[in-house]
Amino acid sequence: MNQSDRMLTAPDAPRRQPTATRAAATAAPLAGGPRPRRGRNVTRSLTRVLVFGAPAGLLMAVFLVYPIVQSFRFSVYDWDGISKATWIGLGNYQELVQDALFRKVVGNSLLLAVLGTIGSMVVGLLWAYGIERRLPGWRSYRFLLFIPVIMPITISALLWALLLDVQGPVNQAIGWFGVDLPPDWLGDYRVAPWVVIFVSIWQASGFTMLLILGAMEDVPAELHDAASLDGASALRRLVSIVVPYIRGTLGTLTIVQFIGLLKAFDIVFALTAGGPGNATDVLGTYLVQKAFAEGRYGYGSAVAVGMTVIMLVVSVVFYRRLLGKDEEQ
Amino acid sequence: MALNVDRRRFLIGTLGVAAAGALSACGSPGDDGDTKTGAAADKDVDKLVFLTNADDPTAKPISEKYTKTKVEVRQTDSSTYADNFPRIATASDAPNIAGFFIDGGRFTDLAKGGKLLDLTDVWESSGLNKAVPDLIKKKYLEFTGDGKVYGVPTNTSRYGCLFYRKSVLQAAGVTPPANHVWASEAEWNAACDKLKAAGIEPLSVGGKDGYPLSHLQDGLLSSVMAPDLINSPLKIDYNSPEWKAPVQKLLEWNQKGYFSRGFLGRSTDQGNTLFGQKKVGFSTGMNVWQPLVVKAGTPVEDLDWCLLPPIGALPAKMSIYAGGGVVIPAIAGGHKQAKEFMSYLVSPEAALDGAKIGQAVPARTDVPGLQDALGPIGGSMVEFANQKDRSQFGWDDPAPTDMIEYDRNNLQAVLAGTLTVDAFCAELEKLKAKKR
Repeated sequence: MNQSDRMLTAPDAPRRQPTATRAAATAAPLAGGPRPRRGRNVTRSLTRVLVFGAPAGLLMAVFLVYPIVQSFRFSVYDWDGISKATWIGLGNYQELVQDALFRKVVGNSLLLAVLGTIGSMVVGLLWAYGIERRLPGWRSYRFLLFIPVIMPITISALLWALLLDVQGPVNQAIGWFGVDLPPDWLGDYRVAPWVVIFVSIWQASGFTMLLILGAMEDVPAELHDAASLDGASALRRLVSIVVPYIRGTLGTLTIVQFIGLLKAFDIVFALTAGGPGNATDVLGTYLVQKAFAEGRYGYGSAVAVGMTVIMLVVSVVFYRRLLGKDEEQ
Repeated sequence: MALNVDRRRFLIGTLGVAAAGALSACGSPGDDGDTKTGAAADKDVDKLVFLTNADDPTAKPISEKYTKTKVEVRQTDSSTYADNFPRIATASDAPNIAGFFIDGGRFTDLAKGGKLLDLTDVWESSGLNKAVPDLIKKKYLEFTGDGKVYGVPTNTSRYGCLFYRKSVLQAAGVTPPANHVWASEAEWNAACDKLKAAGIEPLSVGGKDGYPLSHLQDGLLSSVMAPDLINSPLKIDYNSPEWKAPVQKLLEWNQKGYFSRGFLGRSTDQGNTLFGQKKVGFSTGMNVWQPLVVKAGTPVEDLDWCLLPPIGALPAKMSIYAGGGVVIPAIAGGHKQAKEFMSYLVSPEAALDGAKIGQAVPARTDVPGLQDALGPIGGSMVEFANQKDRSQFGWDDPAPTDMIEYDRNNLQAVLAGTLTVDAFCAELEKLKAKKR
């Protein structure tokens, strides 16, 4: 079986029931076959749903649905997490809409998610392509690039905080080039957000590189060979062959990265704690600040619901734009 | 037999099961009933778990000396301890005794809800009623206002003042202030300018942590606003020139370059390290507590301290924080044993050990040999604080939690240049209006 045949029998293929078979299955009873005992089948199928669905349902209930439902319920109360809650209806949401800081935090989160995703995808793609083309030293290169992924995020963030201190090694190195006043990376509100984005890209690129590399290995060698014979450069082959071929993987990764960065907390908290001022505050740090530091569980829950809605909308849009076309095809 | 369950139906069924389970488990927020303080909680335990924050060097050695019941000391991240405290104190695995902060009455509802044990008898049996100054006792009594006390004070902290390295000031030709007090703001400014001229940054502060900035604010406020008003946060006019003065002063220092560059992105530990490396003249330390500064590389022989300069008509004062103590979560077992251990923790004997080991200053004043045990720095600070009109409680002790949090977070924004002093103060006034 050659590469093209393998493509035709991709894992997705058997799951799709051919249209003709589906039509036949629907038509069978109308064509005079034995009439199904509908009531009994419904009971049976319901029992099966309960039997097979209960374990998964229970887990989802405890770890997914319950927290979501509770968050929504808390969000309509004025509650400090300890004393009896007071029902305030949509009061928290009204405050949320009018909260200028929340809008700023949403902006910060979107900036981090958009630039962090683009950055980690581009860097991951280029690294993966370099490794896949077996650049000199590609094995150690692959290992080194994956280190940020296996490092705990807080350790990475603290490491960068030390490196980027005004008097830290990075600025000392900049000083060797005669720069008298190197940047205040984490203490200047104009610079700190870019540092957070940079560290996020550094942290995530190893992961994107690994998955993209896995997808790239499936690109038929013949396509590369044919393009090379036609005189296509490495960059041209990346843009015209590799990227279209692994579009599905890139789409899925983009969604995963975007949502992951949209709900980022640990890296921001450990790197800047949301500061200076609120320059690097994102939805995650803002939620924790409101709910836990200020003891406003109700308002914090409204932030969480707002965050969920934003992520849901973004996910649906991304899913339709990036993966929808593939599914239609 | 073919299964009549397609993916859609299966998913709907699973979600239905999940939703039914989740909804049936929902209760009303805050309606989880009172803590179980029945017979189980009163039973003796094999060992007591004592939870405290990681910065406390005294908890382990002092607990090891206690022989009546085995005590396991657990230490946790100090920066998130207060935020996590409500969950710590109400969890089924709550410690038998836990470190606690009285700040702004942020845990008052916890005590009112029966989650903390009434410790009136511990105050009496351990002699705290007589040994603790009335002002500190009042803070604990005011915590709930029901005539009971739910916490026992173990130590007090000093802040609103600065550490300096004698050798660094000497090298820059700066004369340290006489008797720890700057004669005027001009004297302080001259010292900072001299340090800058000598290539040394004047003041290190871990601005990333938030609270060190509010400590500076408190210290400066002491020379502008009367102590009674500072301790009545709901009576302060936050748009008044008095309240704005310290904030404007911090901004002015920032513009003059008195803060070490990068201070807003630096933690307290990093700030202390810079001080240890002789790169700055002064440091706020943390609550002006000697052990952390020494740990970060400053030898105690080279260390001394001073108040912040006066910026108003009143003399500058040292700020005192008296809210650090211990409580007994009602849900945990071994109440009797925990109270006995607590009495030991606040005894003069343990207080003296705490002073020797970690320069911790106890809330009680009847500890013989305390000043010697605290050493030259800690001893002189306590001696200074005991003088009339030389110390007072700060604003962030009685202020409501949301106002404290706003202040801490947004002083950063003011100094970063993203928030004006007027907008900062106006927001505090709005928060005050909500509380009224």
